[in-house]
Amino acid sequence: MADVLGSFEQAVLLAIVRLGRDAYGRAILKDVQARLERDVAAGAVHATLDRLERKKLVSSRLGAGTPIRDGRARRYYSVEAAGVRALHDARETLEHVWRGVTWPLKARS
Amino acid sequence: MNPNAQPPAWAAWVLASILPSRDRDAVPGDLLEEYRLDRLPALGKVWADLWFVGQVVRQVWRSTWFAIVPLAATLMLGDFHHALIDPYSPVFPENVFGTVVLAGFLLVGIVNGRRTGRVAGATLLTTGTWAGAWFLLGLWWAMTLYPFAPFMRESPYWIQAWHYKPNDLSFERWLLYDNIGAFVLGGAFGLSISTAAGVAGGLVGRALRARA
Repeated sequence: MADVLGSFEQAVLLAIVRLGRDAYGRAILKDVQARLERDVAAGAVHATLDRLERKKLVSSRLGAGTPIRDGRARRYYSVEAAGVRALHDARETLEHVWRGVTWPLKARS
Repeated sequence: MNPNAQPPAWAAWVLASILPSRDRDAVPGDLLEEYRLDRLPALGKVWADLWFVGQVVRQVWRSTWFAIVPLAATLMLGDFHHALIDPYSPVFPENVFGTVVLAGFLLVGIVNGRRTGRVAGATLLTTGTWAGAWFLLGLWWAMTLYPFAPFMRESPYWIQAWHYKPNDLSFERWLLYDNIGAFVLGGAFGLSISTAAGVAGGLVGRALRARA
């Protein structure tokens, strides 16, 4: 079984999947903020990317800088095969847990 | 939007100092881009600067919380014991406590010197560890001053300390001044020790990184 992913890790990995070749730090941050509908610290995303890279779920390469960044390089991320497996497992686990439950749930009166 | 607007230079320098070399370009670049494209137009210069400083403080916290939390907890436990249980003898012998804290500062310095490859980064994070723990202790003192005071004024030790210099201060007011004095003096002492340990640890960490 692949690594068990936390929900924030899933959000970051899915942002990379959605962004494709444009997945760099700030773009991932904006995508995660939009999906979670809350302000997320840039450091939290950077720390998660660092952790995912150490787990070999994502890989990164440096790209060119832009004037708005004062020429500082962008680090672009892509999901590795292990990352895709981990996302599949996370989704399967969630579906398995929810199986047999009618949605929306009704509270007992 | 001003494409040349800069966040506070000191905060940018702190950020560059505490990051590992591989992130030293990309992470400040992401923050600068966010600062200029989103925060500055939405918040204005002052609040955008505060946002940037907040991001840097969070980075410092992320690199130091594992040392701040046990240090602050130890300081609070020691204070609780000193205030309410036995003011005559500390919960931890002072030489043991001092040695452990010094070793902890050196360790933080070495780890971060190795991680960042910079003595400045290691020193900043070591002093940040002290500042964070001392800030939490200050909050603890502020929160416990009035709840502890009724119990402390029953203790001969604290009554004697209160009357050491004859004046007409109430016990609570004297305790407040005593805490402020201890906060300033203890904070300055800890800051100097943590800075020295951070420099020493940072030099060792940087040398270890160069050898690896």
